[in-house]
Amino acid sequence: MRHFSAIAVAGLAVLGSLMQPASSQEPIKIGVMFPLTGPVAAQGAPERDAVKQAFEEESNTVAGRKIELLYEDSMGKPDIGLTKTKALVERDKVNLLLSELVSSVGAAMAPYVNEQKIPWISTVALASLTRAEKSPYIFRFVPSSYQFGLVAAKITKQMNWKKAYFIGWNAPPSREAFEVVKKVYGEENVLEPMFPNVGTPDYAPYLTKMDAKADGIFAAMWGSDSSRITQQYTEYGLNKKMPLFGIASFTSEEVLGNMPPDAVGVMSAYTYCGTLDTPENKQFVDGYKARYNAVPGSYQYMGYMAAKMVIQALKDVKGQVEDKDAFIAALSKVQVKGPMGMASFDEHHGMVADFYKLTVEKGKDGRLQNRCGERIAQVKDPYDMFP
Amino acid sequence: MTFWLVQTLNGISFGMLLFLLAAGLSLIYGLMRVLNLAHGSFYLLGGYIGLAIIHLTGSFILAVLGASLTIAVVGSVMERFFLRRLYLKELPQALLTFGFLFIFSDLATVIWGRNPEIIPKPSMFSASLQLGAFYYPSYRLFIIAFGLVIAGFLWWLQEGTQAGAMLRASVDDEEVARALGINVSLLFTLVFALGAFLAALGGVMGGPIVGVYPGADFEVLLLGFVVVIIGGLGSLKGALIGGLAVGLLDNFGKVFFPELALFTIFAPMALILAIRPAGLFGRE
Repeated sequence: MRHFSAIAVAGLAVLGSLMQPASSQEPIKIGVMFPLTGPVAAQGAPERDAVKQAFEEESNTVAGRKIELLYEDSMGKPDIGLTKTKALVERDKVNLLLSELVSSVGAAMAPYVNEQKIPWISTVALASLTRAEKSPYIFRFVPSSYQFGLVAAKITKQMNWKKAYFIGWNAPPSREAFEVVKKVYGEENVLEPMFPNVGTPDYAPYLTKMDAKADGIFAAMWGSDSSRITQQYTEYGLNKKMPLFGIASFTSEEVLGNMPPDAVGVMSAYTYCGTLDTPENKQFVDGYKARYNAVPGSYQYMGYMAAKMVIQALKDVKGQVEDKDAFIAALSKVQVKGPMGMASFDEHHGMVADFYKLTVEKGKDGRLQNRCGERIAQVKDPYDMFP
Repeated sequence: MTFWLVQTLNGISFGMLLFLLAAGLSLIYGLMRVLNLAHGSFYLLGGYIGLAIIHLTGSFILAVLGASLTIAVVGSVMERFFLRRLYLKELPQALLTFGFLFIFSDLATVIWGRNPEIIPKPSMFSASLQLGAFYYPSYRLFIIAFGLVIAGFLWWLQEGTQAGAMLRASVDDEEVARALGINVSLLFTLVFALGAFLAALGGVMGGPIVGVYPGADFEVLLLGFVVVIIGGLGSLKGALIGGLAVGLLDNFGKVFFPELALFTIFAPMALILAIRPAGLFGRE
């Protein structure tokens, strides 16, 4: 009898020791939703690929637990994004969300995420998610428009600019960036701010108006418009008069392919510079190239970094993602050394990271690339300047 | 002074692109009473095919010819096998061409992706001319000259050739034209092909200035309609004057009222609709 109970105790102990890790052997499920079809697919799909890369670099295992990524396609549409998010949370029971870059989809997801109290790391440009509508569950690894406006104003000030033209889309990001530039420069030093519509086919009428003496031109439009205005800026000989300084992803890697050869010398300031020589960036760029046969740009960088932040926070809580409060606390103070330097989240869960001045140059292969210039370390969203 | 000169040239060069687009739209409507909503697709596909040919051969002239001829064939197929069945049925026509607009738009996305592209300029016109303190891209001057040549050619085609006489006869009274032995059906196909040809021409010629990108089909279609509404549907002269008017209005509107960019085009359009519902050169 004594014999038997000893075996039983031993058996229970073995069972118990098996059961203890068993719960933590269960995979951590992460919902990864990006626009993979539709108008923003050109940004969404590569960003999703970069998220995948970050986890592959960890062999899809963090703190001893398998990572399971569940992919969804938001199509860039708020209703579809919300439905897919609900499916991830309620059907697939994901532990956290690493999703999305489209503002309207982000706006639709925010109330649901708060109601479900599920940690959500996003690259949604919508700054209000970490401002007026900040929430314990929402983190953004993407600069706010105030943040990139501030960097542009600061770097040009270091270049001794005093007076400048400003042209940007008639849209919130460019308007907000303009507010910062105006504040830093003083209203009288920003000449004729102009806000044409998104997708203006011809910027020549605006550019040919810029005939006063100034130190340069700020341009805040993106995608096809940034290559178009650059081409027209050189065609009309403005490049012989004053430099063009793009705000945010104006000269980002994904648009450089479409820039005219004369774009050499155009500057910008942003959170990612493809040619920066750090071991972390080499690992990121080479890994991306090997996997997808393309050069990563700022969208891929932000997806990759959002994933890196999650990975580090999971390590900090030893994989115990089920303890939501502890995980959120870990994410709030996580520090990651990424391709561009140290990165973290601020008290509103907005991104804090290094920014760089970028200058377009011709690479060895004849293609345009960004030369990385001055670094502005640890830029934070200027909440005090623009509450 | 140079300011006005540069701005006026800008307006005229953009107006010439609009003319290329609107001429086809207007011709097709004038003859067949078809409001071709897929006209924007001809522009976009023309631009993309031109770009593909440039990447392949490096020749701008081949791109212009290849793209325009390909789209002319696409246009004639569309007319012969689809639109002909719906002759004079306005609503089904509108729905059919609208359907084609979406099909072509998605097709272009599938083949060429969503990245915006700019067509490289012919090297002959890659430089800028210096006008006093201003620089002016020579390519835009070329567009103006090219637009004028096309306008002259179309004028000659319509007024000075037998085909033009047949065309005018068919516009005036289709039944009598048929009775006189004019092959109106063939004429329909040819005019539709010519309209498609001109739109594709606009796409390739405009490519170095405005680029080719998803959504361009809808944008130019809208502007094309404004041009024909101002100029009058069915009139070549209207397409030219309307194109120049919209080009200049758009340009000076942007210069003087940058925040009201679209208003300066649409307000005059509404005014003309109120005063002359058929447009400046349209016939009741």
